[in-house]
Amino acid sequence: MTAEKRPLLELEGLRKAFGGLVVIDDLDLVVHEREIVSVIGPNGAGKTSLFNVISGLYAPDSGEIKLDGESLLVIDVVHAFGDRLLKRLETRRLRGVLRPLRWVVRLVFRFLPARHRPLAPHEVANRGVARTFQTLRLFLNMSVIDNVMASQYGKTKVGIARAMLRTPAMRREERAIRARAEEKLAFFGQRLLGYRFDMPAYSLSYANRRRLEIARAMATEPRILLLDEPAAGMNPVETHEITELIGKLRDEAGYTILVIEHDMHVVEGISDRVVALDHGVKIAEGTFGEVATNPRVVEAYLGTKAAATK
Amino acid sequence: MNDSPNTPDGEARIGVDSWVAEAEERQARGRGLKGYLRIGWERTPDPVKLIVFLGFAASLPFWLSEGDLYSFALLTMLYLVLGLGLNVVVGFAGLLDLGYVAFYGIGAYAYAELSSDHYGLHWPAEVSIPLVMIGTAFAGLVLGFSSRRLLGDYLAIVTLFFGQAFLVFANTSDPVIAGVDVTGGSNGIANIDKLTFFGYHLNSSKQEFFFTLIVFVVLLTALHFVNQSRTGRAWRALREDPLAAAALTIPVNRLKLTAFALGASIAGLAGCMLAAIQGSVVATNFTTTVLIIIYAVVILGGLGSLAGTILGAIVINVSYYYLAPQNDHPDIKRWLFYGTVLLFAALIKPFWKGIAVLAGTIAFGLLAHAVVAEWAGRSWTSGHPISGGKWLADWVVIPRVSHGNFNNYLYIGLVLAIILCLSVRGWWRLALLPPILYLVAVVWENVLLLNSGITALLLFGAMLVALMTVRPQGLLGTSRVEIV
Amino acid sequence: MHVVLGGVVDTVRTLGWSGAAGLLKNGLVLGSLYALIALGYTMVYGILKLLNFAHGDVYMVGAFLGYGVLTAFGGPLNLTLGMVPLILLMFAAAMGGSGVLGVAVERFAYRPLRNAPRIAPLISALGVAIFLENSAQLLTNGFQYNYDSFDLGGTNGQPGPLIKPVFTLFANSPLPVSVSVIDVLILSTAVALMVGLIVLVNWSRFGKAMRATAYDREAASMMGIDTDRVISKTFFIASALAGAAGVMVGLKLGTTFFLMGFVAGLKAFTAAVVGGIGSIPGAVVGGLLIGVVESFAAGYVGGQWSDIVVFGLLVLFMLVRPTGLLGSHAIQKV
Repeated sequence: MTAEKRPLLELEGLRKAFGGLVVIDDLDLVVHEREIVSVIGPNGAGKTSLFNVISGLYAPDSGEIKLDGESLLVIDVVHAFGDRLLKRLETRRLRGVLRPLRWVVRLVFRFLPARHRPLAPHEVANRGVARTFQTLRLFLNMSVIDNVMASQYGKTKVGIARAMLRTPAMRREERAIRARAEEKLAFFGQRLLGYRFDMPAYSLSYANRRRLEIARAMATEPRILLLDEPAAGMNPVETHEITELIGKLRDEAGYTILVIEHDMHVVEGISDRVVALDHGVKIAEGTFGEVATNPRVVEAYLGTKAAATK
Repeated sequence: MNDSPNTPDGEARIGVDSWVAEAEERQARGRGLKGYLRIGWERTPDPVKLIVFLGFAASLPFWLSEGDLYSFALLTMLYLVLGLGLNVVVGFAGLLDLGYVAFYGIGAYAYAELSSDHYGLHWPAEVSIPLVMIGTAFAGLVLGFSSRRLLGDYLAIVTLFFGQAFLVFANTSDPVIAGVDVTGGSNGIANIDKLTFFGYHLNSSKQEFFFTLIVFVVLLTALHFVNQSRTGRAWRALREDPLAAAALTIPVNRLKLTAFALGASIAGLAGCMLAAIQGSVVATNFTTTVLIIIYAVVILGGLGSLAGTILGAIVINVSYYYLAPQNDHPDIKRWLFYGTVLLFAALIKPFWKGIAVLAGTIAFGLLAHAVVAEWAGRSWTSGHPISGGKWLADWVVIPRVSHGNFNNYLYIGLVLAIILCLSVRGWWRLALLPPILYLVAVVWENVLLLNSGITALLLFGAMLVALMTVRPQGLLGTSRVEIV
Repeated sequence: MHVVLGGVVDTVRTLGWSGAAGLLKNGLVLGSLYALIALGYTMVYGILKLLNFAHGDVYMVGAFLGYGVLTAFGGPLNLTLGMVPLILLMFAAAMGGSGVLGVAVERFAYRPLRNAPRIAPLISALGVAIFLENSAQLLTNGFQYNYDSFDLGGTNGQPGPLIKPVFTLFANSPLPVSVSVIDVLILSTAVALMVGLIVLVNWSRFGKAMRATAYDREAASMMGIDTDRVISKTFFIASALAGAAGVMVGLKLGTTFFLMGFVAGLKAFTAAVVGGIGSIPGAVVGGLLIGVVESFAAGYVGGQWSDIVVFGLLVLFMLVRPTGLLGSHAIQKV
């Protein structure tokens, strides 16, 4: 339904292995703007590893990750220097003996081994990729609002010196941070508004901790939200709510969402597109109906393969 | 969200689920006097607390003698400044920096070199202090950077070793051993200039005290503001969960380095103050002992709590000063010691058990004294407590002459008895307390009082262990919950 | 303090091959001591992820226990017991006593903090170290005590058999390298203990339980392993090794001092880090490396700088290979 839209997140030939264990194998995936894509697959299929690679926690072995056309993998320092040098050489008119310099530089850097590493996680987040964690990772001893305020670090500027002096600019920014945090929390309606914002996060219930994690991710002003099993451990009512919430996140707040989920009702309810992984390989892609009836997916989940090889 | 259960429309309700109510209950204040004190403490706004403290501190020079002002007020202030800096590193950012004392030393030596006859430079303080602070911050950055990949446990060992390497360097870089005179070797650097700001000399302890007080207040306020700013929040976040923090736009390593460098520069400032106040610098000012004292200051009051640092500095410095070997007031030491024991007994709940323990201790003591006098002979009980404390002679067993390794056995016995007491529960523990308290008194009078300098450190070490087990948040810190 | 351990080697500067060989020998002897202590660090770190600051002081206590046994049997000059049984007894007392001390420290200072934030047990460990150091100062009056192993087992003012050379290298050079009985004793005991430990960890039931506990304490306890017991035993073994190192250092260098544990502990921990923390062979390799580096630094640069050289090595490893020589990258689970 949203095929004509602009691609926002593009993974090309992504591969990641731990020793001999390949967790992501030559994966191509495109998530378009304002699309909700679900990643499904049995345990150990490499779903969370995929999130970890995208958010910069793991370095991929090869492949490319692009957000809105820009790579999230940086070239290492030497290559970056070479690129900058080349750019400068090419924009400037060189005369005489200096002309071959361009060639030499290009040659030298062509033959260096290409070494990509991911941006640091906080830089990936700054570019607009925010995530939640499967095993909740809230700042439990900080207050509810502090959790949401802390994640605006990358979007704000005032440094230590101005904070020490408490300059007007600093106070203005603090007020803006707080306002934005309250705004994000308000998105969850009475569920999170019902609490006093200065209560410690550990006093929240499990479902509300999941909500707070989403609010915290939203506060980084992301382009794309990576939700890792947002409905895990929730009761049916809460699961239903989270399904509605994810839809609302796209429709009202305008986020693009990549979500890992095991609950097929949730997947069915939210997804524009479903991607099934098994052992790091994409085995199916399409609408929920297509993927759910795909024999390879059924096999991966029910293990007919194992039964058949007997 | 129409079908949300339990949430009537239009009303932000507290207690959507039972967790909240329970959390409120969990946070219920203690009852009785303790509860009131706590509520009172929590409701008093911070500026009021600070003003009360400042009023008290500012009055000190007017009723303390010059000597007491130096050893109590001035040194406490110095520990306060040191504690504030360490609090940034350990309390705010959660980094175990065991080389902190080395930055203190670097600061002190640097000031000494810039403002003394050592190199013939006599730069005024308004030039040398900022320079030194920048320099120590830079040193902190370099050291932090060297272990940046593994900030954590490895940082602790690298920094501890750094402190040791600094001591070795300070002790050996004199003309005789190293051929270059940087630190004056084990003699240190003497005749350092007093603090001079724009031609105004701070000569007396009184002036220096007011200067350190001002430095302290400015620093405290600045750090309080930083702690409330986005940087402070980010520090708290990375202390809780560095990985999640990194995934939420917080540059973890850079912030850790910032905290490390900020702490180092504050230590450098304290070093300058030490050099100027003391007039000389030697390597023994920066040993592990000093490190432990600074840690005790910060941890006793509560990591991350600025008010706690103040309390910690006062308690630690005053008790350390009174227990110092050169301080010849056995009676004050005694009051301090027995007062602590009484305080400990008062913590036993319910209070009648505490009273029973105290009564039991006194009775046990009288009995033990009588038994020893009867069976072991007068030479075992007729010793005199060292100067004063006559009232103890009939209660505590004090041998007149030394009996071989008797004192050592006493001490080891006490440690074993305490271990035994910790291993049993309930009534057994209560029943063991009177003999142990009595043994404490005997060991104190026979061993500890005679070596009170060591005793202070012993107690600090034991305090760190006990505090971590019983109340890791310190006296005034907020408790942290570790769940999931 | 460097005198205590760095003093193994004489300051020699331009000594040629025989000098270097001598330094190497001293470095290996010193290094095997470091390795024994480093094993304790690495075992405790492996199982609890705890940097046990008190470990160096346990080693110091071991040295004093050995000295206590020595004086209890009349001291080196008036032995009331044969030399061999005496040395065995010294080792037994030091290893047993240190082991019990280690277990007690774990029980009272670390076990209550199993689930506390990471920094709490570190601070507690620091407290234990201070407590042990100052207790030792109190009990020993802060003096240095001498094993006088020179005289041990000797008669009528003759030096005892411990320092007799077993064989001598470079006998004709001005600086012959003699390997004495005590050197052989230290090296062989250290090797025996290390081999025993490696066998224990890799091939015994307890070793399996220990590795399981180190890998995942919670899962191990669910599999029916009494993890507290395993940790206690680990502390016992680790501390016993340190106690043995204490006696060895007493026999080799002669002096015990209440502060000797601090610097030795630092260097042994450096050895554990350089070898790869958590790896038992790594601790051995790291210990030997640190010993040799320190020995050469003392010989060619000067004994007072050896601490700084070892520190430099630590920083270098932190920068270049933080996982150590034999350590492996652990995958961080998210």
